[in-house]
Amino acid sequence: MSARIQPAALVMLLVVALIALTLSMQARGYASASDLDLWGRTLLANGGLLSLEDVVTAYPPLPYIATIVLSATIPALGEATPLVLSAMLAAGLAGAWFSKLREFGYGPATSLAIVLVMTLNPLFLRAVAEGAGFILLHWGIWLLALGMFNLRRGHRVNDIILVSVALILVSLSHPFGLVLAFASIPFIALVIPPAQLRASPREVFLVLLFPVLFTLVSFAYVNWVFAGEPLHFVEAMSQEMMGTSSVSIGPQGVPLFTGILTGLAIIAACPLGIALLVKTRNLPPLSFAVTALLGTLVSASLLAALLGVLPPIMLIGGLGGTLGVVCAIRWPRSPARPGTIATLLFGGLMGSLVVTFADVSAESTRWQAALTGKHVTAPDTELAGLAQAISGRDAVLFDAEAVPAVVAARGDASGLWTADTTEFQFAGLQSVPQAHIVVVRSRESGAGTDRVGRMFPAMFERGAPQYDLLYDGRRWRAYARRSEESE
Amino acid sequence: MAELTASDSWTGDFLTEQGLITLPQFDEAARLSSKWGTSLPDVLLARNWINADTYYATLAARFDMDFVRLEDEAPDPDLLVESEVAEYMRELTVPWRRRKGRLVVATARPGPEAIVYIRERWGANVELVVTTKLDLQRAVQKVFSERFSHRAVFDLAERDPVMSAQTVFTPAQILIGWAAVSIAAAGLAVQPISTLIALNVFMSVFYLGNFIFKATLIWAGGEHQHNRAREINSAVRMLRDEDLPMYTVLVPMFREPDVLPILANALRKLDYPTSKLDIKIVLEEGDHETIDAAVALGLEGIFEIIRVPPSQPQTKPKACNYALRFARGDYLVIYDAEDKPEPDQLKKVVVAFNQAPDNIACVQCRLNYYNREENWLTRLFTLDYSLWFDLTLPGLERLKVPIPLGGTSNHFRMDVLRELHAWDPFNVTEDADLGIRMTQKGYGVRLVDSTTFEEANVSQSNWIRQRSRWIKGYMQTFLVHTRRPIHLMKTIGPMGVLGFVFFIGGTMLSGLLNPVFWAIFAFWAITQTTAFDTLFPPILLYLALFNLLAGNGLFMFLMMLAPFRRNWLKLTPFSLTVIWYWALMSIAAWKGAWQLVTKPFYWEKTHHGLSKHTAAEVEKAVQDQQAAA
Repeated sequence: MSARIQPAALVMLLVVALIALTLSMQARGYASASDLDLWGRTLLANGGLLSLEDVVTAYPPLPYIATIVLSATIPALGEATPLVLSAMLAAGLAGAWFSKLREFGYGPATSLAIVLVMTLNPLFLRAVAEGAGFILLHWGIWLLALGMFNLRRGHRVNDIILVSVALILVSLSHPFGLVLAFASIPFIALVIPPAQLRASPREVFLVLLFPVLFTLVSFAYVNWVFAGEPLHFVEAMSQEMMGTSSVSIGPQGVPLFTGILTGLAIIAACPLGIALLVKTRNLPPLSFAVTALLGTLVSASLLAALLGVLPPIMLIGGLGGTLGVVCAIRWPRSPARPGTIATLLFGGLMGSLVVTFADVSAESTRWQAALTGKHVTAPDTELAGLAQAISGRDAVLFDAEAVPAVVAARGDASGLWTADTTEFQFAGLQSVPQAHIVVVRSRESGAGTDRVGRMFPAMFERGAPQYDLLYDGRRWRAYARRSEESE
Repeated sequence: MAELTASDSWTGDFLTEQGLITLPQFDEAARLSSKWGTSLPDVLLARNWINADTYYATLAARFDMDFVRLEDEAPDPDLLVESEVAEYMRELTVPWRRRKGRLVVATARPGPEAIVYIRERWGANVELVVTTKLDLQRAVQKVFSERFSHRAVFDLAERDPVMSAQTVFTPAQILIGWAAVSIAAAGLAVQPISTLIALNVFMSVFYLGNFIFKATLIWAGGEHQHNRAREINSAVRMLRDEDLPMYTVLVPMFREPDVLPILANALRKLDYPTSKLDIKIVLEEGDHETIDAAVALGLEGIFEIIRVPPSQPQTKPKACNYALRFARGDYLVIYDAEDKPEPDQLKKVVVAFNQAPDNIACVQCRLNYYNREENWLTRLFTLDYSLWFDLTLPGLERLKVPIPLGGTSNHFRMDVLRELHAWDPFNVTEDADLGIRMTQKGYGVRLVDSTTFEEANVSQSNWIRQRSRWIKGYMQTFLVHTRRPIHLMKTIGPMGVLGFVFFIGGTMLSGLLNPVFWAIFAFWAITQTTAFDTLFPPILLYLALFNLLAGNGLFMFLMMLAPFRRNWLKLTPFSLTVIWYWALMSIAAWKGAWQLVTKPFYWEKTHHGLSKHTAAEVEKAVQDQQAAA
């Protein structure tokens, strides 16, 4: 098989395998909260129930736009779209690993073995199940690492481009990516060629950080143009999308401790990094790059924990796996290299298993159960119940943008009167809603009330004349119009 | 004392004995002759240590031959053969006249080698006379002046008219343009909003494609650059002087007497045996100030001055075409007057040609500026050139897209250059056009990592003049090579066409369109008007905003990357001010477009020598020459 066909064949194989795995887990009831959120928003966008303004100002934009494009390209994928996207991105990444391993002197069998070990690592599979956003983070770390390992040589602009593009990619793929990009700034200094750092430090940082800064300012500008507020996307971001809907590990309320444990998880999943650091301690271009990358990941975990935006430990630890692949690639060539790498990969796999069992977050626990063949419940049973209550119903007045996962669980967006529809705006002008069903969120829900609640402030508590309680949850209630019920 | 040839050694002894030069002068001339790789008489004449007339007359007397002034006693034109002009110039020997049934041959290098050559060439039954090198060169030029002048202007237009820009718009192009305008007008009359939206969509997609293509180019250009540079550097070290081919260096100049000392110094510094250099300073016949300055500097001793007879269009390519007739090298390069090529450039190019496949007919070296820190414009211009030559052109080469050659430091295989009828004198970016034409004819262009440093424009008005000519030339090039779209596709392939359209077409079109979009955006942002809402439905507004933000951000970033390779990072922050540079570019684009219609062949002259740095360089060069004298 030729050098070009090998990675393509591997990608195809992995796409099929990963799709099969995720679909089987979906059949057992597993869907990540972030995928549900993403698919719900995609359904709303495709159904014309979200304005373009809402689509283009949504954060993070990359997985969202990619999902919309894929669902429009292959509508038959239906609710599997986010999973397929995630599997395709993950398989593509594995193909990139394979090509790079071959380029750096590994034989086809060794490269394949490394890729399979890393791809079948539970932490990576967990990331695939989490959704496209997190796989894009893996892509970002991959590109960042490739760029950082070469940057210190100071030869190629491509390495600057890699670092810059990686920072943009992580920033636009996942909220944790923003923290990663911020955390990388001090560590970038380690990989800049010393002569350039001495002579023109500001200029080098300007080149490296300009793209991500310009991108973020541009995104804020687009928000300002379309939504009237530069930081509109922050307000519109859901916990599900942030991947922080459940606490992952450690004592509640001690974020620093959680952050430290997560940092340790990264190292546990990437013993190759520590080993490469030790091995290349006298080779600054390599050792400084490993230090910078490990430092970026660990400090981002600490920072995210302090900010309260830390995703489950399995997801963060998995990023260490991708870093491990780059370390294997850059491991100095010697006859002993394959054996050393195999040992360290095995160590990484063991570490990953430890991290897997240590992660007791609801999302990860459900994922583990589904992986081992058990049927699992929805990530949020209240939302699942609400979705079931309004499923197949027409004229539902519902601020669906506030909780897109309900739309995903419902299966489609038809019959919804969402905030961008004329019916919704018309309802606001009336004292009594004309919808068949009104869905409203409690102001005590933690996220405050929704737009329906703001139009009808007493709706959650008291309902409305002619309406009966259809669904009663702690955060959400649905009222059905009595005449409709009697009909 | 350095080792001299037998002939030079004899000549030096003879001239010293005659008291025409001093012994120290002989020693120094011998040293310089060895250093420059040229003959002893050439050094003596270049240094003005001996008067040319005296030298040749003395030699004639020594060999018992007549000394003739060809300027007064011109050669018989019937004896001269056009196809042998390069040989006359190389051997400095021409058939002069017939006298008493015997052919008389005039030579400017009397000696054993010339006698052997003459006997081999014209047989034993010849007489010899001595003349000066200058007289001989001028006499040959004069005989062929009219024919060569006509050829310089019309050769391409007559032999390959479809490739000539003499016809600016072909009837088919006019018809297509008229049809496009008519359809747009009809659309605006019937469905104005839809038509404007359609045009808007077209332009937005063009912008998107343009910046994606440029980004791809930069990425492709950044990869694997250093491998070839290392290969060439090591091969240069293996070169032996005796294996080097004859190299013609053309230096077209017009009214630039001040920079001549820089030129002379730079050319002397070339690491190439001077005896294998055929350096021609190409001047317009009416440009007396530069001619006089060159003569005063004694440049005629070592360089040949080609006087181009007046004719229209008065363009650099026409002058080069004329000079090409007298060129005798296997390779040819063009330098501008103020150019400072890296000394080993010619050797690197020879290696590159040796290593390249047979179809490589041109090697383009990088250009950059020595006065980059002079002011804002020189900084931005340096960023622009760094981006172009260090990143973009390597990208084109890698993606196999036709390369529009830069103004100077393009090195050609002489046989191919002649086969292609050289430069198009009607195209004001004849170099860019030739690069594309070469690709269409099955030849390729290679890039070599050697830089020629030039003077960056220090004045914005001067810069606009120069850039407007470039953009007008790009328009001419685009029009010429899109005359036969199917042929273009067949010869350069789909990727080549795509690259050509975005690279040549995109450069000029974005310059023209940018002000329109900037004006709309500025008006919309300041007034918050809803007047444009109908033209920008939400999806199009998003695309336009995306193009505006991502495109501008990307181009700024690319500008920032440009100086990285040369480690000129102090220029990086100036990339943030590039918007004004783009505005200047748009002014130039509109000026170029206007001139394409009104004065298509007019050559907007760029004034060189305005830089303070150049003045300092001139001073230094003069001091060097004085010190050497």
